[in-house]
Amino acid sequence: MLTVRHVNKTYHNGGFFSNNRQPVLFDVSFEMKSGECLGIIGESGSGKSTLGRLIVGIEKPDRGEILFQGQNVWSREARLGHISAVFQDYSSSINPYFTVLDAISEMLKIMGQCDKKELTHMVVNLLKQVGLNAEYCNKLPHELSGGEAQRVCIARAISTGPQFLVLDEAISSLDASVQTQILNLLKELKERYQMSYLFITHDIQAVTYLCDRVLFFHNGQVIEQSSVSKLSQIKNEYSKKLISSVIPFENIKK
Amino acid sequence: MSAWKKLKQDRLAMCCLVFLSSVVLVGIFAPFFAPNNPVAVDTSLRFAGPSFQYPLGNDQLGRCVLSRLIYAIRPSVLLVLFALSITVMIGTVLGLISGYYKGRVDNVIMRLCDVMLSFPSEVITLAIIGIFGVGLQNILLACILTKWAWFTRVIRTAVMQFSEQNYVQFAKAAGCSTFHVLTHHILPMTLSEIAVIFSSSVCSLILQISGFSFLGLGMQAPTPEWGMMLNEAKDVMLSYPTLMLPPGIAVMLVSASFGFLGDSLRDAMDPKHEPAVTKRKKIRSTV
Ligand SMILES: Nc1ncnc2c1ncn2[C@@H]1O[C@H](COP(=O)(O)OP(=O)(O)OP(=O)(O)O)[C@@H](O)[C@H]1O
Ligand SMILES: [Mg+2]
Repeated sequence: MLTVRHVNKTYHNGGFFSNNRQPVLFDVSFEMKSGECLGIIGESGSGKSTLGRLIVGIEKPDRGEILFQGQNVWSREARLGHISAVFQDYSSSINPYFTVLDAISEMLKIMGQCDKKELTHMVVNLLKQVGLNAEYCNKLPHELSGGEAQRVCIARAISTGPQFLVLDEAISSLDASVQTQILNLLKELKERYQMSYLFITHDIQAVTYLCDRVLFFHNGQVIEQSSVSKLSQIKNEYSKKLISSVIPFENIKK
Repeated sequence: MSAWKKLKQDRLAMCCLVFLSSVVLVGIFAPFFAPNNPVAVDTSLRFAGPSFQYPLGNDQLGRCVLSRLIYAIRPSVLLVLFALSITVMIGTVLGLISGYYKGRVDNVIMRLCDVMLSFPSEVITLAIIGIFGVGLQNILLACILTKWAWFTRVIRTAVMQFSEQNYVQFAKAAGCSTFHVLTHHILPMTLSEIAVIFSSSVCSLILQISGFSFLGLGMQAPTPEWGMMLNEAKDVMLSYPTLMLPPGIAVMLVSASFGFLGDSLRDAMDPKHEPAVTKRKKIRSTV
C-alpha cells in the first residue's frame, strides 16, 4: 500500500548564497501492507518527523519516491480522503478561530458533504467514537484540555475514513492514563476500520502494544526492521541500546 | 463568541465606528451636508464669527469654514483610505506569497523590500513631488511606494508564523488546496495584524498628508484640505486663533478614532481575549 523507495532529504542551512546542505534522511526504503501498523523509533533528531512530513506530502523528498497505492503522495488528489495525520503538539493543532464542529467538519466539507444537519450528525458521531459528547461541538480549542484536543484531532483525522494515518508522537505529550485511553481508542479504530498506522514515537511500550512491525531509525537511516513479536532477536547494537534504554526492566531481568 | 459580538460590547470601539462611518458618509455626500459652497469667496464676511448661515464662521477670504471642513473629508480621509487599501492589498498579496512559499521567491521579495525600506519615506515623497510636481495624488503615490514594503514585511512575518502551525500542516497533509489553506487558515489570522497596521498608518498618513499640505506640497488651493486649512489659519494665528480649531480637532478626532478602533479590532478578533464586561458577568453568574 505504501512504498518508500530510496528517499533522501537534505535541509538548506545558511543564508542566501550559502549552498550548505545538511542531510537528514539517507536512502530510506521500506514498505507497508494494507492494514498493517508500523512503528518508528529512534532518538531525537534522527529524522522521524521529517520522514512523517514527507509521507504526508507536506514536503518533497530530494531524491527517491513515496507511493501510496501506486500514486505519488506529492499529488494532493492521491492523499485527499485517504491519508491523514495527527501531530504531537496539540496546542496548535486546531485553528484557534474554529469551533470543534468547524475543525472536524472541515475535511468533510471539502469532500463535498455540505448539508448542515448531516454534517453536525456526522461530527457528533465522530466525537462519540473518540469518547467525547456532543456538547464539545461549540467549544473553541483553547477551552479544551490537552487530551480532549488530541481526541478532537483524532476525530478530525478519521473523519474522511482514511486508509492510512500518520501519528507523529501523537500521545507523547499526554499523561499516562490519557495515553492508555488514546492507545486503546487507536487500537479499537484500527480493528474496526482496518486502518494502517505509521506510529512515530519514543515509547517502545506503546509500539509493542499497537504495532505489528518496528523500524529502528538512526541518523536518518533505517538500521533495522523487526516484527514486534521478535523484538528479543534484534541484532543491531544501536537498536538494542534503544530498547534497553526505554525499558530498563529488561536489563534488570538479566 | 464572534469578533463582531465582542466589538459590539466595546463601547469605545462602537463610538469610534459610528463616528468614523458618519465622517465617511458626510464626506461622500458632502454637497448635501455642506451649508455653503466651500470655495465661494465673500470678502465682506472675512473672519466673521459663527452665524446661522455659517455655523463655524468664515475664514480669511470669507469662505464657510464648516463647508470647507466637510468637503475636506474627501481628500483627507477618503483618499487616504483608498490609497491605504491599495497598499494593504499589495502588501497582503506579496506577504502571503513570500511567507507561504518561502525559498527563492521570498528572498527576491524581501531584498526588494529592503531596498525600498532603506530610503527614508520623506525623501521618496519629496523626490516624487520633484519629478511629478505638487499635488495630492503624487503624495498618495509616494505613500503607496514607501509603505508597501513595510506592509509586506509585517504580513510576511505573520504568515510565516501561522503557516508553521499544526493546523496548517494538517490541512496540507489531508489534501486541502493551497487556496483553501490560505483563505481559511492563514488570511483570517493575519486580519488582526492587518487591522492594526492599517489603523496605525491611517493616523500617520492623515497627519502626513496634512503636514505636506501645510507645507504647500499637497492639495492645491482653493480645494479644501485639513492640513491646508491649518496652514491658512497659521498666518492669522495671533489675531484669529479660533480658525485653527476646526481642522485641528477634526484631524485629531479622526486619527484617534482610527487608532482606538484598530486596537479594539485586534482584541475582538483574538478568540482567547475575553472582554472585561463578559468576564465580570460570568463571575457574577457563577457566584
Ligand atoms: N525545516 C527544517 N530546516 C532545517 N533543518 C531541519 C528542518 N526540520 C528538521 N531539521 C533537522 O532535521 C533533523 C531531524 O529532525 P526531525 O524533526 O525529523 O527529528 P525527529 O527524529 O522527529 O526528532 P524528535 O524525536 O525530537 O521529534 C534535525 O537535526 C533538525 O535539525
Ligand atoms: Mg519529531
